[in-house]
Amino acid sequence: MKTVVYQVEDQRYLSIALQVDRVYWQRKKKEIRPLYVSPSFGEAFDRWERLKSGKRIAPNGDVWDEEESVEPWQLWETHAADLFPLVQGRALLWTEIVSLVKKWKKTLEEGRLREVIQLYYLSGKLQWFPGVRCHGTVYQWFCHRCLGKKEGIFLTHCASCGRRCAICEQCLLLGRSKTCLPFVLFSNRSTHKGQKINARSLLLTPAQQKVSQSLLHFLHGEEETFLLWAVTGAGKTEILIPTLQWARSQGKKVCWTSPRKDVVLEIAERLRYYLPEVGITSLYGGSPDLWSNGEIVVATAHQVWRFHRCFDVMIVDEVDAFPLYQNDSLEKGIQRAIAAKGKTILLTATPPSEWIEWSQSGRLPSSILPVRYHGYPLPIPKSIYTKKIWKKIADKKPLSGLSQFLEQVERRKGQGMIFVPGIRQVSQVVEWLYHYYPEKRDLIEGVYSQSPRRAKVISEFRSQKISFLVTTSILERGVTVPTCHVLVLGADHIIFDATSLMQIAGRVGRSAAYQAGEVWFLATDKTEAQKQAKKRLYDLNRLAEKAGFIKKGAYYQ
Amino acid sequence: MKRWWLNFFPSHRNGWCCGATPVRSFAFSAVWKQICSICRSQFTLIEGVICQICGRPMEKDGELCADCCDPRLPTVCNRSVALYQGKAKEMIQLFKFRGKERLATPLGKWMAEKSFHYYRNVPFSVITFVPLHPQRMHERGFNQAELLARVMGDRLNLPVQGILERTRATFSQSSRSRKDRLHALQNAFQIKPLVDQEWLSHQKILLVDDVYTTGSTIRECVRPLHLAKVKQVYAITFAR
Repeated sequence: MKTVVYQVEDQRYLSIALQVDRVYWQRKKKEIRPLYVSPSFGEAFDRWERLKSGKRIAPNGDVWDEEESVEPWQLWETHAADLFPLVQGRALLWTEIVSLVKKWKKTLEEGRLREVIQLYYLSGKLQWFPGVRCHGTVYQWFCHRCLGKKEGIFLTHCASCGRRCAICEQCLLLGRSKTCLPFVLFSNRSTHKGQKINARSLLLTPAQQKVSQSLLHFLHGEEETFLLWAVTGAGKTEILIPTLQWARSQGKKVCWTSPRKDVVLEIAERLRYYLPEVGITSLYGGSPDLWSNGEIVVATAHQVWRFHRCFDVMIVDEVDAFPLYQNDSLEKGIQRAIAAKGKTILLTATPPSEWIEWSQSGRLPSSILPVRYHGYPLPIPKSIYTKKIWKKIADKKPLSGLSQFLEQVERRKGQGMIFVPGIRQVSQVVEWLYHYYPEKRDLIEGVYSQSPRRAKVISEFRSQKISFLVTTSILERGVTVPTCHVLVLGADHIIFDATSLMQIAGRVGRSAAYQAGEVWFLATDKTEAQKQAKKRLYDLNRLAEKAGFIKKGAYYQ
Repeated sequence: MKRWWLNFFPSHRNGWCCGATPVRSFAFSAVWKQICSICRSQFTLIEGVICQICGRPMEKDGELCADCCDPRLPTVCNRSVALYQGKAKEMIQLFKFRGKERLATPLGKWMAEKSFHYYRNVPFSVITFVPLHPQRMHERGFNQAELLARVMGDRLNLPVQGILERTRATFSQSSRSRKDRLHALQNAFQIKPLVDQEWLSHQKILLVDDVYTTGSTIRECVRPLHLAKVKQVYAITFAR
């Protein structure tokens, strides 16, 4: 995009539509002098930065040819006032701004849009950067959009600007971030108006009420981050409803972010049910709500890159899950989306051990909910040790643990999930099952992340058309089947760490009506992960028991 | 301890296809071998019996497909790597519409391998590509066919030259029906004015494009070349 650096007195400015600047400074009775013109925004930005730090550049400012049509100043201002409510608090690439304007059916062609954006720049309503910074050494390269470092950035010859242009591949699926187009961070100037919000009535258990109270207390206080450690199936959404209700009645903007798309869909649906008066936007890849303004935004972690200082309350669901955990760019993106003095609530069922330490030492304010909503304890896994599991499966030799599991599930009229470490093992185990149980051929399916029939198979499993599902660890979170039994085949594999095993165990016993489900680990060796998972589940049950939340008469004594 | 030579000769590398699954292959092995097994199962390669002209997979050997039997249409010899479905479609979309330009390298190498396989006896003198309209080029920032042609040129040791240009902007072919496609592009291409006609008439040209659906783009590209009395034109596309 054609950009010019110009000077007014001793200040330098950037412009993508110089006619606006001419009128602006004329009204203040000041002269402007173009210094540098470039077809690439990134290059002009680099020159502007150099000038700011007192370095010299070779000026070529006299080659700017003036745009012909100059609109009256009032018209620009009306356009600008019209557009700003739609873009405030967002962080958008140029192409995204264009598609946003198109979506809202504003009659602004690209030339006009440049003028409007330039006006925002002059009135201090935005900060801008090139999409990717590619000047200096590679270690200084940086994608301003996804905050990624050099690993995802590649140089190409760009036909749009005719220069060497860098492209970020890390955030490619959200739109191409490149050097020659600006990335615009709009400031947030919305004035909040509080109003009373009604929610559907909830019946919280005493344990849930206690946590809910402590959350409200946190929102009134000074601290900025709060860890909510609630076991799988504790009813996290329900606990947060009073919080959301309070935040909305104060006119605060709330974002609920989760690493997975299916979780986003489910949460949005539940929030729409509990808070019928609030506008809820769900954002994910291919979402129809794109560019619409909701009061509560439910978004995947990647979509949060598109916001800037926007949310007063940020709820981060499943913080310890892929791809969020230990991903620097996503974490920084979430930080960028939080408004000044905004609050963050971290939700997890399996916090990493250092977080537990922090919360115990009081560095991270936290609250723990050790019991499920129905009051029954968490299932404790049972370990079975067998030698040469994978050889037996590959050679179609009998494997007693696996057959026993199938028979028990049949007897208790449940459904079985069999977790395996890798994609290769899925087909092997499915073959083994077909070999030994040919009559159940229609009831057994395998699924993995890239399987073309993934969505269909999972929905069939949910609707109980399939009774046995062989899966990789993709289904360790977010799937709730009431009559579920779980077998982890090869639980000693490195992919199954303690948190993963705890999540897998958490699939079982989600419904109060069906408590016959069991968790089995079938492994060759006893590993630290299995031991830790069992210990932590046991500790949580003990904690709940001490607090007096556990129901009697459950299968766990 | 990681041995130092593993930095230079890693025991496995992640495949270029999905970037997640390790593949056990050497850096110089065929492109197909550098794809992980899961992605491999989602490609439908064009192998075995094909239409001798347009490269469509056929039932019986030695037959021509219905399109190529039509005497009204000029015939252009074309070969493709895979069917435009599943992973191949995903790849093309990622490459062309999302703009992951790095994919040009493996796809181009793959096409070079196929072109070597099918056109082994044709002594090509130059590679050219289907042009984009300058306005579209400005929007997209790159010409996908040109990138593929450059990689193929490197691999086959042939010069790559832009010989054609568009005379008018046409809308995207991918949003049209079959009937519209066949007519939409008529006379949309011409030889660049700077190209030497005398030189051109002696060339054997390999024409590169990304997707072959009805073949109308390729046919329209070949029309001005035939008019300029080019000896032979063969086409290669990634998917069809």
